Amino acid sequence: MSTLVVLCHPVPESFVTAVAAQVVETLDDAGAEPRLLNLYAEEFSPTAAGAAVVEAHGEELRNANALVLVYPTWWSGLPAMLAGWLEQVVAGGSTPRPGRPETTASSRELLANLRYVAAVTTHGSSKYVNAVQGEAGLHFMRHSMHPLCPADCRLVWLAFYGSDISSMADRRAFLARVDRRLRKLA
Amino acid sequence: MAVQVVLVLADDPAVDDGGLRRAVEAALATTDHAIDVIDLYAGDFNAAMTTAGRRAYHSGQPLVEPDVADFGSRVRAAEALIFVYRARWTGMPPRLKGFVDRTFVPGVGFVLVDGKLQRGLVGVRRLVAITIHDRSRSEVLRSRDYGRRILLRTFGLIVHPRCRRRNVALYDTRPERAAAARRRFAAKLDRVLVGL
Repeated sequence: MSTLVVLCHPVPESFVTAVAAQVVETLDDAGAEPRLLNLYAEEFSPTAAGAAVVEAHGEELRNANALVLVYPTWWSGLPAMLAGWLEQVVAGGSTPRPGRPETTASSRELLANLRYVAAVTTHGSSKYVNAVQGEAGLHFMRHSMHPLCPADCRLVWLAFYGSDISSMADRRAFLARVDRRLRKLA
Repeated sequence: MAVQVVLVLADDPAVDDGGLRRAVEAALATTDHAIDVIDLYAGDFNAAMTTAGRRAYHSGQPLVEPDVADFGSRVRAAEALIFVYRARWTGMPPRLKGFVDRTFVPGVGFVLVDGKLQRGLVGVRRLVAITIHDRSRSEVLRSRDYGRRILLRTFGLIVHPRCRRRNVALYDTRPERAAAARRRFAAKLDRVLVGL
């Protein structure tokens, strides 16, 4: 059992980075062999990553039994950096076309060993505002990412809302929630 | 009526020989709008929010990099915002999302007062998303058309409250389906852009 944890946040002292540290600690403790991939630390290019980098990340994904994406939700969606990683590594530059299931075959092969995919994300605004905005990130996970995974793969949505006005206690409570939920899955 | 337009081009000109942007530019050429073009494929636009940019995000002076500072002042002058892109999965390509993340910062797109969002682009009265999807319309709608949601719904909270929002999309690019759909797409493009 190994788990790929993808962290996407430009600031090392951010709450999202702390969440990723919690994810790694929990998974390590549960014996899920976390492997952290920090996209900003690796200076990944969201628009023009080298073929070698894409291949190496694809290999990590192929060997993983679970995928945890840790990122901030900006403008109700994924940050460009993570969107670029998914597009280049998972979609591999191919765009799904109607009536041509073979266009997603390489993505499916890459995700074939996953038991669950988790999105662990923070939202600056409240749950209500995000509902009005349309929760684009959630729908990406539910309708684009998850259907590429094997049939028995679970989708886990762990979201923190209202981070702009959150207190220290709120944040600690979220870290505890992440810990409980991932421990159960591992 | 002539309108100050900011046209954000986020479609790869290498795909389809730039057919999408040429169609948009041709439709706009018949109008008398003042058009300011932001081409995200010209030069080497960095789509990823930078560490310096994120650190300065809530500082009151968030546009620390020259490229987005320029975009910020141009976007603030707009009466109409038009986004042109070819959908990746169902959403916008990373380049366009990066433009949104880095340009619509506090002070440009919105203002936070006690954690509450206030509109920053009240001068914008028209929002248009122009998209080509490789998937069929039903597939796009099933996945809740999340790219359009960001551009038309999420942005609905920061532009003028009575902003007119239009989606012009071409679905299902299989050649055998394309001819009639392309005609309808071009007709709607003309209608929407002339009637801004």
